[in-house]
Amino acid sequence: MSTNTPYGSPSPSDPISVRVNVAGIIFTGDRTEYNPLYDREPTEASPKGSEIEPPQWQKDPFKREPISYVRAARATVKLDITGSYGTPIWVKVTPTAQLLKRVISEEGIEKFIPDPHAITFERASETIRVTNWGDPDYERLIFKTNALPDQVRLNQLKITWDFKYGYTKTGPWFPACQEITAHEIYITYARPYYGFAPFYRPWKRVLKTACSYAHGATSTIEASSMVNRKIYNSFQFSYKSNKSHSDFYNSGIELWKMLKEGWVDCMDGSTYWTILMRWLGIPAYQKKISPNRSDSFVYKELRPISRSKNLKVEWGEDRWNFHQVGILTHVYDPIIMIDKTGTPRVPTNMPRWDYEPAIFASGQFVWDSLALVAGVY
Amino acid sequence: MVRKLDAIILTANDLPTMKLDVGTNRHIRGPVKLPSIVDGFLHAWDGTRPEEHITVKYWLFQNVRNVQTAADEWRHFIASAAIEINGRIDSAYQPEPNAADVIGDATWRVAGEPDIWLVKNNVLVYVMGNNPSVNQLKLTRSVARKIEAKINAALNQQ
Repeated sequence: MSTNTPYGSPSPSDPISVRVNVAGIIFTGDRTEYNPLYDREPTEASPKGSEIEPPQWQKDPFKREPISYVRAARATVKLDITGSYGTPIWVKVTPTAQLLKRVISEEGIEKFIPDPHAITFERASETIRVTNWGDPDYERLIFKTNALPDQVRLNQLKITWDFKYGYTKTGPWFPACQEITAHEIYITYARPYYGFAPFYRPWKRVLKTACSYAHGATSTIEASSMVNRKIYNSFQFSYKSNKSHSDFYNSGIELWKMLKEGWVDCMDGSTYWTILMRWLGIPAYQKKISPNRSDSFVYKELRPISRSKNLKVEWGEDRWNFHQVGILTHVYDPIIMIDKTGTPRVPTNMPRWDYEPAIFASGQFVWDSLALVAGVY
Repeated sequence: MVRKLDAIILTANDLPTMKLDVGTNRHIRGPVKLPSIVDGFLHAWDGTRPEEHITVKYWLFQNVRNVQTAADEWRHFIASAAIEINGRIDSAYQPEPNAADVIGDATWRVAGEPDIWLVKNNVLVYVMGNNPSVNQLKLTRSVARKIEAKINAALNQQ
């Protein structure tokens, strides 16, 4: 006979009398002070968005927010459990984590396939003695992971929580139940540079894009090159050179509007690349180049960024008052393709002395000093 | 002269079919340091019709001479687009060719584009159309004329 009272003692002869529930999960870690991301999605209550507060996973009301870590970091997972029927009791929790990678099939169907990288825990299981379910509201167990993958990643994280119970700390253990929680995990290259006014934390949507574009990168050049090319090839933006979401003075970019409206100029594109880089933890900058206005110029043909998937955007000559590129030692220019007659490519990690003649056939150019946008709105 | 931007910034009453994007409204600087501004402000408005997506930037200057300098100089900094005139590079923002379409004291625009750069008294205004897939010029002109009317009203009250 089961002891169907909240605070009663379970009978050893009735192993199914214990039920454990995952109430919430908080993800922290010593290198992840930025872990609470910013959700820029406006709501009625928070028109400018809001910070994502822990727990990142919660059952009631249901909540599932992404988690972010630096590559090779060790995560701390705080598991809050509730239960019923049977105390005092010992509960043994054994988590199994699996990383999944999102893929889109040729038919356009989203699937998650097992990722070769794994997340393991320092200790296979933790035990806790419960004397009175519901007082406090939950019991907390803390698990520390071993090192996360040592590269930029965007993954689904599935954790299977296996619960057993017993009457002594050393068992024997009786099966209670299993629960599975699913999370989205962004693994950055290094600790994000944040501080862009006025929100200060990386935006979850943008950090997801950054980790998606740089998925698998193990070096700064690899990450910055992948992001640069993927911005151009994302078919997310069309080129408009007659206006901008950014201001020349680098005091701000209307990034949210830019993502919504789908058009960019050179300032927007290079600033976007810079923001993705810096939220991945890579110290990138922007730089302007200006033709000498008293000079005359011959521009080479370029193919600007486009939302057109069939790439029917024509090569053409543009005329610029100025141009802005991303800088990480060398030049990254995510909004144009160069070298029509040679090897058409998005300028990526190009030394300045190679980049200049790729854009201009003749003329004098002035390179400003490095700059960084101050505000991301 | 206009003394405060508050008097001339469009409100919900002026644009009843659109809603202010509160995520954007903020004080702004000029695109470059000089001439210095007294105040600057950015508002974005969105409505339900495809053309109803605009951003309006306002800059207030100490005097008319400064605003005229800014209007002419800053054309080169608000957009990279340029045109070649007699072998020289100039901003793609050129004086409005049709006198009937001039709003304020002077108006500049990129040919075929809806974005209006105008100066009126000591105020510089930039009305941008944010949806390139539709023709927004009629709307941006209408918005610019409303701002012109508000500037006139502010001047008449002094």
